[in-house]
Amino acid sequence: MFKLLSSPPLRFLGSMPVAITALSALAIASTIGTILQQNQPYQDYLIKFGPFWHRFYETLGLYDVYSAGWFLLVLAFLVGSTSLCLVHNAPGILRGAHDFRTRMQGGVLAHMPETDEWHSPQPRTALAGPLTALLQSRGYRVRQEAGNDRLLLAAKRGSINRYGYVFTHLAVVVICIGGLVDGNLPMKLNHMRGDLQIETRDLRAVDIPAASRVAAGSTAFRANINIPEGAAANFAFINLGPGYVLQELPFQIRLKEFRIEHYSSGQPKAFESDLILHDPERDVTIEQTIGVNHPLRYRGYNIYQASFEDGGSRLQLTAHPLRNPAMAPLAIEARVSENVAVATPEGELLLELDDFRLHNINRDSASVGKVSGREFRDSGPSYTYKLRQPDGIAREYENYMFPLTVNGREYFLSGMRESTAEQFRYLYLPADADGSPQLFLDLLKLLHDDERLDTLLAAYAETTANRLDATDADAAARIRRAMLDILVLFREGGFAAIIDRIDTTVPAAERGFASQAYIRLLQNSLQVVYLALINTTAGVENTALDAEQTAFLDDAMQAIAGLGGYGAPFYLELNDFEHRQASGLLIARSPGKMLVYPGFLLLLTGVFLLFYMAERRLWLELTDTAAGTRLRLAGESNRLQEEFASEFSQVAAAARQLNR
Amino acid sequence: MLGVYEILILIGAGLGTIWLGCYWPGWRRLVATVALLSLFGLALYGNSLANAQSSFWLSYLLASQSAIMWMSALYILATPTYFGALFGRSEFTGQVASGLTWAATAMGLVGLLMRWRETYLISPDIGYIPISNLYEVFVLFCLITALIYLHYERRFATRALGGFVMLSISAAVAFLLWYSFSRGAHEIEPLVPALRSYWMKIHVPANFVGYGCFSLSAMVGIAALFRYRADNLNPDGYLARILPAAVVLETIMYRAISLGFAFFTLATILGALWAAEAWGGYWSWDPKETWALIVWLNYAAWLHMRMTKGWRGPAMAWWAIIGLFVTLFAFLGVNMFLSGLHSYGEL
Ligand code: HEM
Repeated sequence: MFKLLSSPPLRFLGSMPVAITALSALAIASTIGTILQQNQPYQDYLIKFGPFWHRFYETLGLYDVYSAGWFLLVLAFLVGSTSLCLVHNAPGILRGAHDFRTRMQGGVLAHMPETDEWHSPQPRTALAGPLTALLQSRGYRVRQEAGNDRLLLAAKRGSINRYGYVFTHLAVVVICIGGLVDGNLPMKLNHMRGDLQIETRDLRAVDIPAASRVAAGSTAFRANINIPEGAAANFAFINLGPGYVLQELPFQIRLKEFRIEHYSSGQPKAFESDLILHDPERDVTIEQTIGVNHPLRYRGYNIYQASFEDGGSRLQLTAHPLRNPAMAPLAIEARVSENVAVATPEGELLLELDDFRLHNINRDSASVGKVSGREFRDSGPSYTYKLRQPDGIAREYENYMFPLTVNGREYFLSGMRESTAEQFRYLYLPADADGSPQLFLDLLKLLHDDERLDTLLAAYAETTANRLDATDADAAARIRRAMLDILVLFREGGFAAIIDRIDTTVPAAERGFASQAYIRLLQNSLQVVYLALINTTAGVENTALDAEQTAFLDDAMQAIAGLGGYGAPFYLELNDFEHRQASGLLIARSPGKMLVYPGFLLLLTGVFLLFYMAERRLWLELTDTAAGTRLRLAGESNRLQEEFASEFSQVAAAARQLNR
Repeated sequence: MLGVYEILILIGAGLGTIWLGCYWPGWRRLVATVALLSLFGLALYGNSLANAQSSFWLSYLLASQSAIMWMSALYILATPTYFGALFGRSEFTGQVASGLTWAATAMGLVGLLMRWRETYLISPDIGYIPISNLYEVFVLFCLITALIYLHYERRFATRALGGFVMLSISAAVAFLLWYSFSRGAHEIEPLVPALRSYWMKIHVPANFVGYGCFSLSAMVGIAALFRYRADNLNPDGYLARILPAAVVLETIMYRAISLGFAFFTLATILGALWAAEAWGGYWSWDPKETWALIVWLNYAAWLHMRMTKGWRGPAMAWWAIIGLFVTLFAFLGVNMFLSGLHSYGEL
């Protein structure tokens, strides 16, 4: 056995060049793994690299470098090389540690890093005892080697330094093996043998076939599961290559409640889940709150707070028509992650509720730059949804439940984007005095009611024509037509439509003047409609707007102008909700810890011994001379030579003292 | 307020302070000065952060931001002073340079201690030990590097390397100032939940002893390269006379790297233990972790070459300098260019 281990090929494998090469290869491979983001959805890689390079990288295992075959091979090389290095060197090093080197001759001693020499009138026999005692008092262990006319005191301390080498290198081996136990190598092997199938479809847990399930056992794994409040699970999902497999658990975890605690300034302070773990096998039930940095440990399983998301909040919504007043407001009740078909005059749309957020805490722009922390503000609940047309095309929306204050005025924000790569573009619907979008929606409805518009404008045109004393009999009718025309133009196409009209009907030289006239006409017309609306509601006969109302109308005009690009036939208002969260748990088993943690301790001890426990040796040679004894002190240290030099001179001084 | 582990860590820090003080007089003076200044600052603050504006001593000297500005100014001043002492061969200038460095270190420590108090003054539920974001750890880096340097200055009885080492500290100070003025990084923000852990308090300082040692060894490496050149071109020349012998420089480099390696090993292990508690695995190949491993492997290789192959000379000096860039990437580059679980201190 030993012969094989010290055969030339294995000697080479345990040599420094191989070790350094393996170290470098490991470092380079690790670098690749950090530059290329690991374990992302394959779809993302495909988009990023294109089909050719995607295939190439996938084959090389670059998406999961740290469990790629070649990477494990590099690790294996390092472990093998370090183990062989240990096997080759440790015996010699440890033997050396116990050797006092009593065979040292004067000539060799003279060339030691530290030497000193003096003479004593006393005989060797009288000196030996006190000198030995001196060395021992300084922590050295001493061996005597007597010759005819000479006595050698060989002393050493700190030989434990030599164990440092064994400890550190053994630790590297132990830690790597422990890491291997905790890696997903066994699972990969099962997959390669065909015993485990990777599932790529989006299935319910019960529908996942047995071939993609891993029974609860003693292997290592890291799996994730999202549990909504009130629900329970006895399984979790392990990401593997392009898909996942299901890991069964020997217990059930129920989520009672998920909480976010906040600092007094508003930022999140803690994410916590109240869990109930029930183990039917052992009939154990544990109730515990876990949080970031505070996992639940049970039977070698660790359960961590990893993330959170909406767990299916129930939303009560109203869809207010924006384009077609024939459609009545529609009440919708649905849970987040559910889809609802909504019939609109423009065809059926699929409403997909994606997410709900109870808090939107943002940095308050007013307080940026303050020394004592920044102020944060909660904008209240928001939710996101998609509206999908029958042809599959979808727009994504983000709405806030409550109005937000922007530049001193309040708006309901609704963001829209056509793909996730874009930022949301927001529609600002002005809030009325009750903090509701109703006034704006009423105004919009009235604008789309051609019959009522006509009566309204007719009455207004009449009084205006009379006031102007128009001689022209047609004046009232013309005013009415012009106003109706611009309102219809604006409600269908916003400012763009008006500019279009000007560009096609007015010569270039007069366009500046014309657009001013058009805008004034539009404002007037809108004001007429708006006044009519608020007068009817309040039962008054005002003819002018106050400042607040003017500002509202301005905002409403901007909002209507934006409707063309909004894309949805209705505005979704959130009336009420029942919040339900889901907690994302990470469940892990790592039996390799039993090796890795002791390995850590070994490594630390080893490094400390190597660097800070120098092996120091002293030799004191006493040679008989005619007039007494010649003393030669020599010493060496394998580390911390500067400290040793001063220690050496202290020992020499003390030893000389003993002469007299 | 503080948990059991925090208290144990504080006791450990206290014992460490006493142990260092036993054989290092400079450290004793530093601790006494810092303690006096901090107590004075605490008294001035009382229970109100607003005193930072009204009290002369706080606003010009002791409030964390002012103290750290003093630290910055003193470190930057120490750099040319050390070089002046080196080129002018003036013992007195050298003493002034050391004095500046000690003073800067004291102010930096006072700054961190006052900041600790300030976090509690903002709101008791926010309070944390200020080694938790990039701004604070940069201060820590300056302090630790300076202390390690001062230790070697005494041990090897030479001030010749001060200028070189202060160069790296000045660079860190420059970054700190930029970061503070352009990004408002000095503002105190509550800790994100992941950082609320006692592991943080030992993992981070251990890491920074490592970083400090590695940067010191690189700066000594630069001095060594000058020394080798001088030895080759003109062994009796001016440069050869003012710089320490090559073997001294090599020894300091080796000492710094081995001290750094030991602490970096400790820090990485602590990081792994923390990760096992916070992320669900002691090793996740997260970019920061992986780069820590790369740094560690790099210095392990350096140590092997010196210990087993007996390598010395320019190659090792260059390697120590390159090592600093690897370390720098692990320290800063990862936060800037790679995304991962270590999300604190994004630029
Ligand atoms: C990841 C792998 C390894 C690590 C982390 C490691 C770590 C260390 C450390 C920290 C030292 C102390 C250096 C010093 O005293 O300044 C050392 C020394 C040494 N290593 Fe390694 N080592 C590894 C692999 C190897 C391998 C594969 C070999 C075999 C060729 C080896 C052979 C040695 C030898 C001979 C010494 C000198 C021991 C002495 O004389 O005190 N090491 N190692």
